[in-house]
Amino acid sequence: MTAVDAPRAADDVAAVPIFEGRDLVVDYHSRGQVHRALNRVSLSIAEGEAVGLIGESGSGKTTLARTLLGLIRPVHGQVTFRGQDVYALKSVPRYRMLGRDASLVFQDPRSSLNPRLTVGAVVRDPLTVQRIGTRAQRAARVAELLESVGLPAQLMSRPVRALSGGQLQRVALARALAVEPGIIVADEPTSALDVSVQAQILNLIQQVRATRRLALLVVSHDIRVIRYLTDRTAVMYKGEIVELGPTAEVHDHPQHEYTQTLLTSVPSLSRWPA
Amino acid sequence: MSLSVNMQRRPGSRPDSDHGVPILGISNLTVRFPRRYGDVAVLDRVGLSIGPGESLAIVGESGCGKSLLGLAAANMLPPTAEVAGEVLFRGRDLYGMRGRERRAVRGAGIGIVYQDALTSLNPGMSIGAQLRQVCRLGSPYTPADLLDAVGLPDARVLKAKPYQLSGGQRQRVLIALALAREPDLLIADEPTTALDVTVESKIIELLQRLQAEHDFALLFISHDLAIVARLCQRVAVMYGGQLVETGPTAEVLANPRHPYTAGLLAASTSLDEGHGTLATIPGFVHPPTGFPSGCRFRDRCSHAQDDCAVRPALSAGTRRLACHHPVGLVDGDR
Repeated sequence: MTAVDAPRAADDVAAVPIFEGRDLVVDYHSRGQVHRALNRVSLSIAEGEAVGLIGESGSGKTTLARTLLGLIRPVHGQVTFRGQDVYALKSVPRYRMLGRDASLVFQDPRSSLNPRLTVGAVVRDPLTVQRIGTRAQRAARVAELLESVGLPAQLMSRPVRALSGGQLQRVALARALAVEPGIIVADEPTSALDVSVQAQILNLIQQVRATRRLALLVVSHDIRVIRYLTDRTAVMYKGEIVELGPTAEVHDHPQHEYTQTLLTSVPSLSRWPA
Repeated sequence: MSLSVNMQRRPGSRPDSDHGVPILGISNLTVRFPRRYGDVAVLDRVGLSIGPGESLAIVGESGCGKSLLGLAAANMLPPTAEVAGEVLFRGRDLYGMRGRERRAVRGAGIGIVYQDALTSLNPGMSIGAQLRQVCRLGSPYTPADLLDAVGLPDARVLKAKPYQLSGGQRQRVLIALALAREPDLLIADEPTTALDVTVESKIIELLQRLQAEHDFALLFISHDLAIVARLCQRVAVMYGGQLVETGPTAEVLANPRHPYTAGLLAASTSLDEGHGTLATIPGFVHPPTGFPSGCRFRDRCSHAQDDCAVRPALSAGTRRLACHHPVGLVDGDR
């Protein structure tokens, strides 16, 4: 597994952000109408940094994440990944580059993981696709990955459909970690989960980040999740970033009116009884 | 919301002024799915009651039987279910009813709001047509009244198809449909889990207002104690198809006795505080065939001892508890 363990970047380029989006504009077309999903949005994520994107449905959070990941070509602006212009590449080399170094975790593991596959196959897939290691090395790596997310290696042979939601989200995280990425993009990683399981997954994400240099982009509408996981927060509203700053600052001294609404809407036991 | 005056309940319009008879009285309700889970009781001797105008929350993780209890309370279980025990709707045995009477209760007596509005609405019919369908069966309101009451602009929404509405708007439509025939009981099964926090907060406010105006009893199913705290007077905590703790919401949250309740509460509050390692409940809910004997929570419970292999009985009174080794013996004892 030398390919996996090879040092990724020399120290002199450490200042180059993992992702940098500049002046991004994305339009969606439907029935002859144009909807501007992103309006001149800029965001950069440094090596090892955790950034949160918060906003309501339709505010453009997911669109921004997908644009950074090379999945939606912006009509204006530029995305660079470790200094390389993402959309200057053709789709295959682009996906190859990003798939090797940036992983995704989705909201609902039940719909994002193939229920007919075994847990082992799900976690192994990215290794096979990226041609990392030999067959035997991959099998050993899968066991190791499952253990690193708190699952017994014996689960490898179980079908995906036999696992609970919380277990599946751990599998999704193990899969995301398989290629030893520099960044994980998590789109609402816990909003399909129960409160108690949500806490388990959030702890796990923190624990995983503590043991490796891993940047994180978290998309969520729940400020508690963002606050717990991230260093910087970008608040999105109607396709624009309306507030951007250190998470604690955004949380404690929200400037934008919409951020204030977001904060007061969170159901909270500590504010109760009101 | 000027027309919401039209939606105010006319005094005396509800036939029951008979106090004392609960709207919903469930006792010893046991449900099995013999083909799927064999002899395991998926709901195990559940008992609870809801008075007129009262709000009761059922709380627990996914797979604890909350939704199943909601369906059982409406006599909407699938035909493969084997039901024992008693469900009384306004004093009448729901499972003894047949034909017309049963349809009347399910259609008009009990309204249901499901979790996922997109799959509950007919995707090919306009909202107006779906509301008219229900109103025709006997509603004092017009579709426009109903949309007004749930805070939707009626002219546009009446013509819209479900996919043209946002998640929050669709959820409001479901509430309008459920209230069309003035039910005595509204069952809301996680009506806000698919929604953003800002929208969720508005839907909770809407339910509060509607309940104050229409005085229906509310059975609210949720996994989020923070929402339950805002909305419901009483809470019943379920684990593995059994009730483990019930009581007034304020008391249960201030002083949880069952380790499961305490665990749920800790997970919720530690996320509010938001630093360090978050409190969790170790392990996960087993599928019914994997329920431990006795107290079904015992394999995840830090208080469990040998005697937990015998199922603890649910105590009597307004504050009920089923646990051999409760948390924090603050006010004494059982």
